[in-house]
Amino acid sequence: MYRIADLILRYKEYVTALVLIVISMIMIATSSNTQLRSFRTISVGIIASVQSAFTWVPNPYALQTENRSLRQLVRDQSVELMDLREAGIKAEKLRAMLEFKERSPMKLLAAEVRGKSVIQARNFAVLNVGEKDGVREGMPVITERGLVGRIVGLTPNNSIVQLLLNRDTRLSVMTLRGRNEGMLTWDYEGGRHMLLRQIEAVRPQLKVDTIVTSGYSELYPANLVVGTIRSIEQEEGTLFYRIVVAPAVDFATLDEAFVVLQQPDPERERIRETVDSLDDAGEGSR
Amino acid sequence: MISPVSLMRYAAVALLLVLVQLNLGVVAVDEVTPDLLVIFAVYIALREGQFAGEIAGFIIGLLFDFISSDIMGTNALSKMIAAFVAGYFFNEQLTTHEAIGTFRFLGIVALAALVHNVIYYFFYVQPTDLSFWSFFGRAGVASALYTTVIAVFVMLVAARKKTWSEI
Repeated sequence: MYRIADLILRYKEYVTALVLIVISMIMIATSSNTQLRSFRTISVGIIASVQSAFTWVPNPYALQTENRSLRQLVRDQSVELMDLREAGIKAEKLRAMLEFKERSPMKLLAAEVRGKSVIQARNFAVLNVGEKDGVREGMPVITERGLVGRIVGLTPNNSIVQLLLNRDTRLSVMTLRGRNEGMLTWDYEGGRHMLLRQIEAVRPQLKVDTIVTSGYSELYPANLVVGTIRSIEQEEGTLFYRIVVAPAVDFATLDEAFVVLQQPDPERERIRETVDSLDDAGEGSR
Repeated sequence: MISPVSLMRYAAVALLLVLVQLNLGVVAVDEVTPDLLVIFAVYIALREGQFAGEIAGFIIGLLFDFISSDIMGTNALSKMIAAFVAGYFFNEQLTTHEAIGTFRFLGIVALAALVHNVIYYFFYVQPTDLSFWSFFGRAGVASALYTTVIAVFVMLVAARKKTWSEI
């Protein structure tokens, strides 16, 4: 410290000159006079060239700051990337839905899923379209991938969909290539799978096939994709197949859907309800 | 160390010279005027030393920048460096007569004025498309010469003082 002070005192003329030059330069550089733009340009140029000459010297503080900035940048860009990916997936989904709507012969109404349950015994979804939009009870709900369920409740602006993943689901379907007809229900115990029954085990059936609506039920139009066969076996103690079906629609990621603006024939609906109630009564008496 | 009385005297003379410098239009030759403040800064540097000279040059220049509304710092810088250069010729052994009252003083003033003008005109020509060297060749050298001519009077007064003191 003393040595430094001694050095400064010994060369006070030079130190003072240097300090005064710096002060003058600062005053000139910070002067509001527009005449000195070019001088400032030169100053900045000189400072920049001096700095660039010493860029090889590592500056821990600058590196730390740079590190922090880069980390922040990476974080921001990760978030941005995730948003973009999500937007891309959504765009792809919407594009597929749009294409489906354009080529579908059915009259469809696009809807957003406002809420849903997929882990209950009876699962439902709420759509943002309702009576005001022309939605009526019993109308099927589909996506470009396949059948979702049907409308079972309505308000002026919202509707409730009974999903296929529901204990009350009983769907008349058939295998697309095997042309075997049967009844599809939800295998509540088995998770998200569905069970296709009432196909006689003597009938030939491919292990790989698509399940579509049969059209015998007035509730759903014919040939709506419902799912694909996952496994097939003969049910113990019966003459029927037990076919496990994977639904075509991924209910966990269901965000948008179409309501098929087609009402079931009321008369056939009444008959179906009567048959259902007779079935239930029969099962109860046994 | 400069005595307080001398300090006051220098301050008073500096203030007076700044005011005179601002009104030198009457003695301008082709718009070229002598720089009395450079002469004064050189005078202080030769009498009090390089350290005192550069500080005096800076303060006088800053005062002039402030009063004349010139670009802040340009006169302070150029006059400080002029006095710094002149300070190299400071010799404690020399009397005022020897330091100021000889042709040596004129040479130092000429050199300091040239250095001063190089720095000052560097900033002066910045906003224009004038060539620095051609402008300095005309105005800078002319001003340095004019300043040196005026310094002759200072030299003569200092020389005369010696003569009087000898009497």
